[in-house]
Amino acid sequence: MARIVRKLNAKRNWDDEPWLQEGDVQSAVSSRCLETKNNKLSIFVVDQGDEPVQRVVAALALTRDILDVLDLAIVSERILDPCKIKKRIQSKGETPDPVVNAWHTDLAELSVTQVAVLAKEIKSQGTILRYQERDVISAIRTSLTRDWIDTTSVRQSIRGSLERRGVSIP
Amino acid sequence: MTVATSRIGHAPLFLLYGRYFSNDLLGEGSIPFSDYQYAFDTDFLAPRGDAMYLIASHVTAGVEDPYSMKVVGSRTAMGDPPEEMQATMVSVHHQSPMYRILGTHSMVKQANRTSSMPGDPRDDCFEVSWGLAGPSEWLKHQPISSVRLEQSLHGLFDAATEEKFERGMESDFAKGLKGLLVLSPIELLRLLRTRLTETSMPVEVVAEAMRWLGEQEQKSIRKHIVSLLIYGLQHTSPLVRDAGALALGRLEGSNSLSHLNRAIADETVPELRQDMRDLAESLQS
Repeated sequence: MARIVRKLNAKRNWDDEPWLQEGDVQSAVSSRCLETKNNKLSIFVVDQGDEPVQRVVAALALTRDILDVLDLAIVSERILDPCKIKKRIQSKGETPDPVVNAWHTDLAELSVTQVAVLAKEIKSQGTILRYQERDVISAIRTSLTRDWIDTTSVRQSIRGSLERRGVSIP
Repeated sequence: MTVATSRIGHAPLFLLYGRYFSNDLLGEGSIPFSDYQYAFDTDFLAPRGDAMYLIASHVTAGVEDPYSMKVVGSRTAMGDPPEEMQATMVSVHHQSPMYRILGTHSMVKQANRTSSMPGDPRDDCFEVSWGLAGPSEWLKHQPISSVRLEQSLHGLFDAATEEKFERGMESDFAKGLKGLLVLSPIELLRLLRTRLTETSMPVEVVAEAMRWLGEQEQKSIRKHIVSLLIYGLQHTSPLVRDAGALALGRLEGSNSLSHLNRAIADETVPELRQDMRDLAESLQS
């Protein structure tokens, strides 16, 4: 079964807080981590194994201005059923890795309820992961070594940030 | 195309994107064209040089790539300025090769003839390309009053409450702070401490300030920054504690471990405690 990978903006919003009921999720998740655009939510659908996730990590990190930790939610595609999310639109991602771009999908026609159920499913069934800077650098190095990155589309700002940490992008 | 190279007085610049600089700061004489642009005429600039230095350094410090900005002819509610003013403005240029003005006097005159206020200022703008990435020596040595710095910081924080921050992306707030840091580092950090410890300050803004502080590698201010980041580690918000830990780890590397280990011991949120442990482990290896 394929997995869904979603970049998170605020990992702390997934933490359990004393005021939350068991299994519930902070409402901030909907605006900071699962924010929709035109009722669509951007995700990557990847196969099993570490490599595709690492590849997404590298690709997403290279779309940024500066090197930073990267937080992800990873969950089985199966959770889309209880969320009653039916419409998926394959749309090209905007990373410098063409293959990762092909994995990009929009979950479409999302309601508030569906986003809320999705958040709860991610929290109960999925994994919220943080890639420390060291791990992000490692993923980027791998992608560069394997020639997965279209280096012409990597912005100057992230190049500079990586160079300060010893990673040079040709 | 002629490149104008003369300059007048100490006013190197007369229009910039001014999102952070409210009318309150700039006072009468500034013309808000949009949320992002302000125009100034040289008469206005002369007594308010420090405001311009702020803005100029904010922009220069905030970009790494050549920066494109817009310059408009001087206009006021009273109408177009005299022609000589327009000529003056076009020829204003920095003493260092900081700006390369690609427009000419005739271009401005042309622009002013073909548009009228109120209108989209971009219609009568012409491009100036930004020549250098960093602030010039000249800018670094401009005095700035503490009051003016505080006003600017106030404006930045005001704007920041509306901003949506994203990890890995340089926010407008961070760019603004970077600009102010160039002008008066110690004073800025002193003021920043005051602002960041206000209980009413949104935690997202405090966390973003922490993230930005972790990027500042100047040795001369390191101890002040570390002190602010340690404050972040003890904040009531997990969001800020997280940002403080990451920033401290980034800035100090393995030297931050003693502080991080204390924070781990005190941390009450299990998930954050684990993230801090992972961070500490990554710094050790």
